Amino acid sequence: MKTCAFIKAISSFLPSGTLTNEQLALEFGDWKADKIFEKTGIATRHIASRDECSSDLGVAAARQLFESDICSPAEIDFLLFCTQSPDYFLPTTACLLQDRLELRTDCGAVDFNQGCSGFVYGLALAKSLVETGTATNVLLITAETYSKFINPQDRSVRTIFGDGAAATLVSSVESRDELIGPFIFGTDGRGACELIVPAGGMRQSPASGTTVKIGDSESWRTDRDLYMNGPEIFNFTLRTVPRAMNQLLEKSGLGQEEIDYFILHQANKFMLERLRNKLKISPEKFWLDLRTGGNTVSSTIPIALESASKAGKIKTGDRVALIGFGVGYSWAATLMRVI
Amino acid sequence: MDREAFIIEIADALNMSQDEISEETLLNADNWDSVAQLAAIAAIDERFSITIPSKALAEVRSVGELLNLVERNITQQSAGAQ
Repeated sequence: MKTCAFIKAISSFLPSGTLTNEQLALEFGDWKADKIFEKTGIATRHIASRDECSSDLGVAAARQLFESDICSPAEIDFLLFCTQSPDYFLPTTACLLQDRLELRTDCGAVDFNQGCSGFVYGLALAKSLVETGTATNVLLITAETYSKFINPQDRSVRTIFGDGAAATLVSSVESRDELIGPFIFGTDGRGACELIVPAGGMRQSPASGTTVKIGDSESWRTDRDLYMNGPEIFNFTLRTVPRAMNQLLEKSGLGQEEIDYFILHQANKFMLERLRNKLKISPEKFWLDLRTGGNTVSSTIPIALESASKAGKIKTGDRVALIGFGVGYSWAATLMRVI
Repeated sequence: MDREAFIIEIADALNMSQDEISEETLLNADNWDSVAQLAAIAAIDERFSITIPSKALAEVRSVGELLNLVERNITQQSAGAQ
């Protein structure tokens, strides 16, 4: 027996504001609501209000987790906060969250900036903290408000992204087998320009604020807004995800048939169906649900884990593959055991 | 490459019937938006296991040009693999 990290609990939170396909169809006259659903698999996105930040969504998710009595704030000895929409350049949002969640002052707290691969990265960091004896209970919060980066006239990204957060408790347990891992990581910064908010940081600040048309489309944005080259991101995904899956199987010494369930970053329905097909995974073993919430970036995987567990799709003893991929480019894959 | 067979698959991506589409079919902002390009990328990947750079894909102006682009990439990527 050895000290192993495992996922003890997950609690997700979506803001109350919504954006439906009907609303999008009204705004963009030539689009039909059912067509948007057919392509994206999304019926409703949840959108943070003007004064609601990623940190607020993260606090709500964490409070729900504490209310379930699985763990108290005083038991947390490390907080990892994954976001690309922090409250401030400084201080670290995790420090603000330590106070708001009433975590101990001898609790470690750090932000890390990752997008769609962020949850799997967070698991790797949490596992390392737990299995080196550095921490016993790690609170991993993924939270994102991409809506604040999105130009209202950019329909290509407005249809896809929703805001949301998840609080995941990674704790230690004595176990014979590893419960999280192995990990595969991947990075290719050549893709940085394909999914980016160009202005607002140090490289390009202040923003010009000039509105430009995106390609031949009817979408518009400024350099302060999120830009996504959908076709190029799709190319990246088709190249990268099957390779990451093969590397994960090779590293774990398992055959694909030994994996009970597959949860990929819920990017959009079209992409996920292509990936499922390419990976030759049966629909019964593959999570695909963006209906409520859409693409919440770093929180799609924990939200899917929570939902799949409630729906009885994954159960105690199951070995589940998790793969996150996107902005960066960055990707990460791992296996976990449900206990 | 069987151009005729592939045109039929591309018809789906363009939301056109097989009778309507030919190599002369023009691609423009109305029928060659990012959704159509995603569908084309999927069809090309499924049939040929190659990816086409999105910029080149966005610039083709007819189905015939698209087929030429795919053929060029099949040649390049198979040469690169050897």
